Order: sequence, then C-alpha cells, then structure tokens
Amino acid sequence: MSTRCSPDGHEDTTDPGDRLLAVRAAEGDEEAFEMLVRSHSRAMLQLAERLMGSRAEAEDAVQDAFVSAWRSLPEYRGDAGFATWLYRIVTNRCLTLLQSRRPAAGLETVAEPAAPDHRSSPARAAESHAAVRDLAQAMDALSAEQRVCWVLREIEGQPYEAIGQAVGIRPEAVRARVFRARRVLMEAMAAWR
Amino acid sequence: MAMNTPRPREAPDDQDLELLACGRDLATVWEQAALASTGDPHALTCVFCQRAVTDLEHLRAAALPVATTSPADIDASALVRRVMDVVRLELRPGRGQPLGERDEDSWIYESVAARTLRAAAEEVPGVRAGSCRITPPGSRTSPARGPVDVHLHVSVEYGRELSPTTDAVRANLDRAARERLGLAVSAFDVTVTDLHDPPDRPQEPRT
Repeated sequence: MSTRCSPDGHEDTTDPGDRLLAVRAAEGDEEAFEMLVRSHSRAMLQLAERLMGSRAEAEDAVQDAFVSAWRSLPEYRGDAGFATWLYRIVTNRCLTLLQSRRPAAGLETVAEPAAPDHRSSPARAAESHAAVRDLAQAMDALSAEQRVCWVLREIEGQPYEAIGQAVGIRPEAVRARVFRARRVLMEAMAAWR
Repeated sequence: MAMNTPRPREAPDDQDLELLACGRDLATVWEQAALASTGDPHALTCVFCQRAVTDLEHLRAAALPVATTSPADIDASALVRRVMDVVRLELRPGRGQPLGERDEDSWIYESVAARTLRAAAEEVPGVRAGSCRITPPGSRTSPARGPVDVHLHVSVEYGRELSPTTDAVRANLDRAARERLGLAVSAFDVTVTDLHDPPDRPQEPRT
C-alpha cells in the first residue's frame, strides 16, 4: 500500500494515509504502526532535540512517546490529526523529563544566569558561535515550562493556542512563559548584544 | 510564522509589566512586532520600541543555528528499531476467531485475519483498507463458533466508480477468507469512509 509522508509531519493534521494507518494500528496492526513511526520519527526527533537540547535525551523522549502512543491508540478518536496528537505526546514527555531534571527550579526561583564572559570584541562569526553557546547555557536557567513554551513559540513557530493544548495550560499562561523566557535569555546574552 | 487573531492582552501580573522609556509595555511591543503590520506609527519610529524588537530578533538569530538540522539529515533507523522491539512485546492481537468446521478447535487472532483481509482488499486498484472488524456469532461476552461477520472500511481513489469497486473488494475478501484463511464468513460489510487522491498526483507544497 502506498503511504504518503509529509516532510514536516507535525504541520500536516489531516493526512488521509495517516488516518487509515492510525485506525489499523489502533486495531493491533503493528505493521501500520511501524509505517507511522517511520514517517514521523525524524520530525519528532527534531522537535525533542530542540526541547531537550541534547540528541541522546531526545531519542529517549521520542522512544517513550511512541511506545505510549501505541498503548493509547485504542482510545485515539482521530479528532486531532495523528501528527498533532503525536506532537502533543512528545512535548509532554519532554516536559516531564525537563521537570525531573530540575526539580527545584520553580518559575519564581529561577537563578540569575551567569553573565557570559566576553572581554574581547570578537569577529562576527566567533560572536555568533559564542552567542549560540551562551544561549544553550542560558536556556538551562529557564523553568521546564518556560523552556518548552519558548522553543515551541520561537523555534517551532507554533501559535499560543496550540502550545497551550500541548503543554496543558491556558494560552495566556503560554504568553507569560514565553515573555519571561525572552527576558531571562536576553539578560543572559546582554554581554554580546 | 503561525499567528492567530491577536487578542487584547490579558491583565498581566506585576512581573510581566515592563515599561520602555517611551512608556510602551514591552510585552505588547513584542507581540505587535510578531504581526505583519501593526499600523502603529509610534512603533515604526520610536527608538526604544525599535531597539526592543531588534533585541528580540538577535535572540531568535542566536537560537536558529542550534535548530537548523533538517529532518532529512536525522538518522532515525535505530530509533524505529527500538520502538518496534518494544511494540512487538506488547501486541494487541484481538479476539480469537473460529477457523474451520464447528467441531474443530482452531482459532485465529482477529488482527492476523484482519491483516490478510485488508491485503486482499488492497489488491483491488485504488483501494486502501482501514478498520477491519470481525464479529463472531453469539454475544460479545461469550462468542460462539460459526460463520463470522466482516466489517471493512475502505478509502477509494477519486474518479473510480464506487459500486463496482466495493463489489470487487467483497469478491476478494470472500476468496481470501475461504482460500487463504479457511474462515467461514456470513456477511461482508464494506463501507467507503473516505476518498483519496491517486498516488502519482504531485503533492501540493505545504505551507
């Protein structure tokens, strides 16, 4: 049978091929599920790597998410497209992993990130390289929810409503998390700005 | 960038309120900058608003190199293998279905029979099989031996005549049940639940 895959699976919410495969997988057809895993694993790995900041942790998160999707498929009603449903499961898994990674870092208790150390005035390329390193460091100072909301908004380009559904908070709360994350990151990067 | 209809900001708590030197609220300035055009002459000329927006753009520019690995460059084969190894330990085979004569004691799992029946249906050109349910006679709680009912959902390619197509699907199911499975079937219920594009038609670019 022919399966159509979109290169960027999570944006495609109504792929009819996915819908059929998801129904079959829900009925216990593991070959149909394998086709879904094959067509969505790259996009989900990319998402998880952006959220976790590490490839190894991203692989663990996506593996857990797919296994949990297999278990939940009999309850999946197809209201959201399969890719959207999967996107939420991966996001949730990453959020849980990030929360367990930093148990004490509540929203109000985020430590001031260490000021990046730039004494010289480096060339543009080096500057951007340092900026990337500083950013990764600064992101570790964000709370799990701030980090997830910021990545989904600024890197994934998701609307606030979709982020709220994926994370399980109201869109207004997403807005507030993204705003605070921007402030924290910007302060941390003030040195090269 | 995906952006829904902007709504007036909810009342922010104190932490979210940061006023720029021009008196504008930073959160609002950033939200407006995300929209294509604000029609706000102040935002276009104010040096403080402009700097706030430039800072945000710098932050995004620093974030993007981290995120540029294209999905096509990611090798996911090891992940697929690991996922499927776990899945195959947790199969959901479904109910046992009676095979052969009434006095025999041979059974086949619903998911295994369904796989064969779906494959037979998909041998008809332009057909993709979806849900395939097999119901034995008797009640749900105590199924009896005897001919089963097969309920199959299919999607049919646009432009194909539906009636001859479902007739051909039914004929294929009948043959597969008898010859490949030895499953006695009392009724084949074939429902067209969807129509799909022919596979060779180029996909429209997605946005």
